[in-house]
Amino acid sequence: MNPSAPRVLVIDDEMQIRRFLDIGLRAEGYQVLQAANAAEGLALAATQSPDLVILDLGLPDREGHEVLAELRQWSAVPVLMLSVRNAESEKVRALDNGANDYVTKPFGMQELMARLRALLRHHPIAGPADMPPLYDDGQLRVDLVRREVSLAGSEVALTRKEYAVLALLLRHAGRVVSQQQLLREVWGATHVQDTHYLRIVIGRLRQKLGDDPGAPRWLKTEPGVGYRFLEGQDR
Amino acid sequence: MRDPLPLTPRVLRVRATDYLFATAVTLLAFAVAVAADRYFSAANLSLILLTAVLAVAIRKPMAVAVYTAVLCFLGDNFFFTPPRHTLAIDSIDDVLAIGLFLIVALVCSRMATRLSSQVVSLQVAQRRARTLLQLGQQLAAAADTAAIREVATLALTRVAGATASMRPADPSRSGPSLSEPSFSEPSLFSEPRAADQGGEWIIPLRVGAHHHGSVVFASGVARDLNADQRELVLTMTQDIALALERDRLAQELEQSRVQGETERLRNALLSSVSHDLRSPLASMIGAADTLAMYEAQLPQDERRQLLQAILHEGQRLDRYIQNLLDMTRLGHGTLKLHRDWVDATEVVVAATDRLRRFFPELVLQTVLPHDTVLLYVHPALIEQALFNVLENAAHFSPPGEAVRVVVSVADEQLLIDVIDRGPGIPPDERARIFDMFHSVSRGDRGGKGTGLGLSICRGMIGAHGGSVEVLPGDGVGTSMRITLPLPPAPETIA
Repeated sequence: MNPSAPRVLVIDDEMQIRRFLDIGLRAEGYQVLQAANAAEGLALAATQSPDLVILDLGLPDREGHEVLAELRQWSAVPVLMLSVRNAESEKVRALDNGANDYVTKPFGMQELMARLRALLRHHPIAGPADMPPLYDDGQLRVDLVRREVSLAGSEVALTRKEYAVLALLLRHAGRVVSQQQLLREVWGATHVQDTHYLRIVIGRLRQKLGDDPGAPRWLKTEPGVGYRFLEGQDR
Repeated sequence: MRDPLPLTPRVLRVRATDYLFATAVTLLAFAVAVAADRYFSAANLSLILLTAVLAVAIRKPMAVAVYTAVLCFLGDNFFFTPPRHTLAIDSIDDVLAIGLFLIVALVCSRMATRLSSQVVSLQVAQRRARTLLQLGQQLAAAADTAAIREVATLALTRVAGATASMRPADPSRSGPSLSEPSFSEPSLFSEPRAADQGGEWIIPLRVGAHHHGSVVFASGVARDLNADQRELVLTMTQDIALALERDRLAQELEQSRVQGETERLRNALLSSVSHDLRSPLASMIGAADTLAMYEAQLPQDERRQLLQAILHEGQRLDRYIQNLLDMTRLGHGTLKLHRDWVDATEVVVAATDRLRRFFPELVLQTVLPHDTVLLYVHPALIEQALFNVLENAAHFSPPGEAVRVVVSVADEQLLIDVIDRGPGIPPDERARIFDMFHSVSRGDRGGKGTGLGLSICRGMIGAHGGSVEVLPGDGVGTSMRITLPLPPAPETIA
């Protein structure tokens, strides 16, 4: 095994889930650490300094949210949560508590691996400072320094809010950004409930970028949770 | 409110003023007779006095009339008939006079009394009828047992002029033991039972074998009321008992309806679990077992097929379980709508994305509105509802034929049409496909679903004030339409 391969800590009480994650992750070239409960998981996170943590929200000894909160007190390691469907509010809460992304149980390996790649690409958690100042995929070009957006060479005129939303999603490219986070950072803390602002701005952004919501190239909706900027291989 | 309704008129009672009146009239008659004495014969003077008797008799009770008759006869005998100034009755004329006076007094008084008592009883009957009619209307309008009791208490209190209270049925006395004598049918003629209840007047409310408690008046109330008032109170309690019985029957009917429905659903649920949840499990166990036993000797292609089967059946099972969970949430009324502003397009895309994952072969054509259409809904529920309709269409769509999703706005409503080219739904089944477990009820033909999907869809869309229907279509395939009301546009941003 390649000792420089990223180390992934899996915290889940379901033995079968740990087993197939272990097999799948090792097949993708990761090193895998396993923990069956919160105490064990936190101990491993502290001693083995993994590059990424996969955390189940339902653990036998402690709630996943608590584990996340404790982990965040001393570690900025990317955390991917495992959550059950119909628990949008749980996902949002965990994202707001410092989780970086989630997958919904039951999930497929393809989906999980795409999320892990996106998380590891931007590790450590990217602040605006260490962002590449320019995004260019040949079609869409966003210059974060000069605040210029162009599509296929011709400039796109965005309002301030539209640009702010696009830039924020771009800074977290590949990862989900909760709608509360978008509203708080673009409109301010008093507007976190005004989701219709966000819907309208996203709608206009898509129109201006010619992004088909049915088959998005850049702006993907994560229903009930938020939005994700799609990069190259995650499309 | 403390005074009983006056059901007995005072005119029938004899009072001292009546005698004064009679005496005054008699004296007046004598004055006239004395004045007329010198012009008329004694026989005609008697007629003047007779007029006085008549005048008193038609106005006053019989005793007063007789009193007037005797007074007039004595005066007539003393003053006017010979021998004057004696009270001797010495001729047949005197006998005739006293007889005539008495007959006039008795007959006229009797007729007048009867007439006035008829008027009075008509008034009483009218008041009684009005009271009963009013009570009947109030009881009919009362929505439940508590309201009936409240209306009844108020009405009885008003009629009796004393506080009435309703005592609920004693549970220990319910059932056949009710035939004990103290709870006999309230009869129009029954006298208040006061002796053994500490003077309270207790009127049982009973219809047939069903006891609805009793009406209780404080001690002494029964004694203070006259027969008419007591009878009215008893008639009212009968009406009240009937209203309570009607309410009980309505409740029983509703309860048995709900129980029947629950029973039917439970049976359908059991057959759904045994059939629809076990078939994917059987496929998974079978495929996994085959792999475990023959892995080495199977060609790679067949191993892959078995693995694909396990994967797909697992996903199918997950969808069924989701449906069952959704159904229990809908069924228990624990479904809370967490409404949020959401772009209709995003909801549709989320559902079609999910469908593509489970039906990779399916051709899906989507027509979305050009502009952002905002809904104020619980996004996950609408997405699930649409997914169920899409899944249904995908199941019945023939290979190679497209399933079309057309989203449009008309009349402040969002319309989502899902059109497939499958076998279609006969017109007489179009309403029933939304019934719970419909596909199960027609045996294995449906085969691919719990029959929950569409009824869950209807439940979820209905919770948002929308509707799901099967459109008549063009004869080929099925068109289903989800209609959702659009909210008034929210305040927009610069």
